[in-house]
Amino acid sequence: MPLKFGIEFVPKEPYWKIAAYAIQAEKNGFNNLWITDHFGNRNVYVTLAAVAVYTNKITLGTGVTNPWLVNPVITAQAIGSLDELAPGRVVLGIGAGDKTTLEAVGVEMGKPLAAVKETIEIFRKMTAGETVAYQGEVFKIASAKFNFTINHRIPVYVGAQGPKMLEMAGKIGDGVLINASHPSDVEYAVKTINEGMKQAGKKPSDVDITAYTSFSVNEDMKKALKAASPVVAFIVAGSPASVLEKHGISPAKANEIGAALKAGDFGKAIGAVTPEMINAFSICGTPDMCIAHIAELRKIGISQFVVGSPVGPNVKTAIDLIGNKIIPQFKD
Amino acid sequence: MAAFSIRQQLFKYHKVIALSQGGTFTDYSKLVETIPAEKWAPLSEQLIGVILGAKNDQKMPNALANIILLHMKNGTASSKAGLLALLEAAVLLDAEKTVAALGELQMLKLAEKLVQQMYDGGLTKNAT
Repeated sequence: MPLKFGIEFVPKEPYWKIAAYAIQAEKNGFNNLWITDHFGNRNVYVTLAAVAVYTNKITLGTGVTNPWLVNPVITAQAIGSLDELAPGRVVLGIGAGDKTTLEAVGVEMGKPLAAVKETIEIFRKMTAGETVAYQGEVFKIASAKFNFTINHRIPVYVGAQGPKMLEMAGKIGDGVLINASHPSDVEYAVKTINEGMKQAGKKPSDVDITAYTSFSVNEDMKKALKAASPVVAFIVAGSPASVLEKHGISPAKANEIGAALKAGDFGKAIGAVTPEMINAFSICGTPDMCIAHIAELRKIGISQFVVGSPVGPNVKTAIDLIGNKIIPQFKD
Repeated sequence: MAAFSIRQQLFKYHKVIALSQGGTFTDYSKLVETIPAEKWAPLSEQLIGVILGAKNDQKMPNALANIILLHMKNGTASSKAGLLALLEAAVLLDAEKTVAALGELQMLKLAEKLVQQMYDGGLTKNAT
């Protein structure tokens, strides 16, 4: 089976730039396109709609939305409507959400596992055209049904990092988006997902296991590194001590980076990013270096590889590089 | 047929914007006509690069953006109609880099004409 390639875009840029990159990505052989969902950026569904209009075959999804800010019925409505614009090439990407982000808008993240599971159940029933009456731990729906028909079964990808979410994702997801770049993290995730799949009696081909990485490619290693550093600074600052220590990174150093970011001193934060941090939290380098990394992840058992932010120091150049040099290596 | 229709739309767009703002209407198509066919594809790529790399992306009129996206989707970004839209957008978003891109492709005459018209005020009054 050829390895599938996906690409992530953050709608902090206007719709036309993302749509232009999407057209370019589609022409370069990418299979999936993921748009992040954060209230501070442009709306994920509006951005996906724009991309849907200007593309023909790339599969589009939220990368990822959460159960808290939008009621699951409305998430199903948005994704179902998007399927009308891009028939048969829409997926839902859903995860527990980011604590800091949700706290900023006064939303408490209670029972993340139940919230994700229930959202998926409601989503599947609604998009199948059922009248939904649902009494969950988190969500209660009295009676809801769409006045329009969704003509396709829409796959659900679960964004996961922790063991419980990974296992549940293997059990109930059509795909899993593993939020990791390092082989040891991906290996652990794949093993845990396989446990969940086994419990549900699933075959390996039933779940699209996806490594959702922070990625930066350029012919010049230094340029690739420079582009990756700001993203890695944010990842390091947001990672729990257990994750940092696993990669030999001092939590104190991470706190320093976090403090610098909070104070708006990006130069100091980025300057404190070490090669160990880059190696732990991103895939970064020349096309050949990236090919070696991706091959390692493929061997572990992923079926899709997502190039996430920053993609490269120049996104247009990076998409062409990936299309011309990297994707052809994984076509067999 | 599709390309012709897009070109008509772009032409109409240019005229309406320019005239509604009391500006002069400079026909970019005259400039595009001077571009040799072998330069269409590389110029198209360069101009897309200038547009996507531009920092002041809020200057892009959405009607022009939609026309460019349609050209990119249909594979006509390196046609005369596609170049017309790209040139307009690139000058609007980053005139300096547009001229530099033309220079890189050894299209010095076109670069000169662009600079000349920018100094005359013709191009800047077109769609801004």
